[in-house]
Amino acid sequence: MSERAKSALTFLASLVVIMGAWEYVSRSGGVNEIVVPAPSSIMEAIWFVITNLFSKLAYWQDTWITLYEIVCGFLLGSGTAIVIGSLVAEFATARRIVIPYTIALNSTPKIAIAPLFVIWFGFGAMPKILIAAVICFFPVFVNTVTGLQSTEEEELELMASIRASRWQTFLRLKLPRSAPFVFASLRTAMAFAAIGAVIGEFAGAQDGLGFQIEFAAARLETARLFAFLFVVSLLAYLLYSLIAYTERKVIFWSATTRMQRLQ
Amino acid sequence: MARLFGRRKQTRDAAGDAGPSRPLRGRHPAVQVEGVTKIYNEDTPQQLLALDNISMEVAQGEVVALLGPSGCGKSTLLKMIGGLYPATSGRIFVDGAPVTEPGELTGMMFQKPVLFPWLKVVDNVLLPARTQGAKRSEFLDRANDLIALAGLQGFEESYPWELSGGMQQRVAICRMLMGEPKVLLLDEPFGALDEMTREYMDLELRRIIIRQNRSALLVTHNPLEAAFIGDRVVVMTTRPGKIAGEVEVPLGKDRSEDLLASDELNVYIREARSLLELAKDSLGRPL
Repeated sequence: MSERAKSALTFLASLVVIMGAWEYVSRSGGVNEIVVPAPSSIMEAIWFVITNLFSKLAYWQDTWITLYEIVCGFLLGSGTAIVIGSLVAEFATARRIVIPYTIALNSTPKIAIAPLFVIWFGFGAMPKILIAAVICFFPVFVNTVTGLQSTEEEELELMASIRASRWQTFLRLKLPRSAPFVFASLRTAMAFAAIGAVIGEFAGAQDGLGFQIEFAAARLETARLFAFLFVVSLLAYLLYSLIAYTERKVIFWSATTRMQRLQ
Repeated sequence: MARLFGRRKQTRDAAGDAGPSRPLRGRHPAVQVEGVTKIYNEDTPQQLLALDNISMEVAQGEVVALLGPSGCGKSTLLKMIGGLYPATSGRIFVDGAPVTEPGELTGMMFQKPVLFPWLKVVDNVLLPARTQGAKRSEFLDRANDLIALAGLQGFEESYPWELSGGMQQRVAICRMLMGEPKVLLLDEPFGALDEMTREYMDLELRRIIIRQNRSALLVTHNPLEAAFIGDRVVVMTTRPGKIAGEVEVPLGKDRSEDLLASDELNVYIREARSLLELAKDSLGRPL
């Protein structure tokens, strides 16, 4: 049996045992159904949500709006971080201006900004996008700066010796060099964007998966809550996979990517 | 090079050699170093005299090896000739013109190949043209000719990490020749290679320099490499770097593999080695 098949089987076996035990405890009446529903009830609820999502499009609007918020927040946050990170890495003046603000931003628990953004921007998608963007910003910013400064002395000497301009050196050397750092942070940022969008919906929304989770919680429909949790996790996982796929395509040349390909 | 890549179309001679050899001006030495001193951290407690009043020349069409122990500042001198760093005092000329910044007359090769892993071999070679704003298609033929010259046919579309260390330095040779430099500045280019590969690369490099009719200055700490590649070996002492002396190696332009193990070459290797030894004290410490 291959190593891969062995891992998969061991995992499946553990899953069956855990789920079986959980189901048994729930059915024997040891735990209230409201606190922890049985796996079978959760599966039923997931099935209900998924079938409604695809057949009757009942939760399509919620899924779509959350997806929209995550993606826009991610693009806005990481895009801004790459631009500002590049300026900071290249220009001392930008560094002096920006660094104090980023330290302040990083020290603020960003989730606490959510209610403020709702006051400023209302109950639409905008405050959720902004919260997601703010949470995304920092890891991408730090890795962009680190990545752009990761060029070796000899590489800079080479670019100087072939009389490359500062812009050329940035574009043809520093930017590609920084890509592995940036992509590592983009994976984190994508997970952060999902957190930001859901938190934003908690703070005040009329639709979205976060709203549905809160709605289910308020009505103590725990199985339903798990179902929406499942959908939002699936969404985040798919987006994460998209980033990981893009990363493998873009930085095919990095030592890490090549190692993974060999395995 | 902006002018070179901007307007001139490249022509090739019948032998298929990559690029024409531009006529040398002839009146000036290829490289002229006059009383050059380099002090690091000047006017601080950490002040360090790295190079002390160095004067030397490379004649047009001449290959000079700069031999010295590690840390004698020979790489620093080479990089100053390449215009990467300024001298603290003294003057440096390339083809009669004072060096203030990297110019189109010099091409450099480093200890490491310094190839970009995200670019194919051919695009690494094209890099000097691309940074000067030339179109890829315009210089593709020339790049392919250079790759063929270095014996790398069939690897144009490979990535650097698919090649061995010796092949990677061949790509670096092609990239250096892309801008048609008249003076090649080589900073221990084969130092990281194993002995066998290094000797073979020395042979190839010498062949390419002579065939392309360039002047060259090669930095090395290996007396065999210095005597084999150089028409002349200039020996440096270590810190502060000074010229200890020089050895003429009148073994002709075309040098074959047989020469590497010959008694003829050995005479000059011993001579260079003894100059190196003079630069050390009785405990082997640099003076």
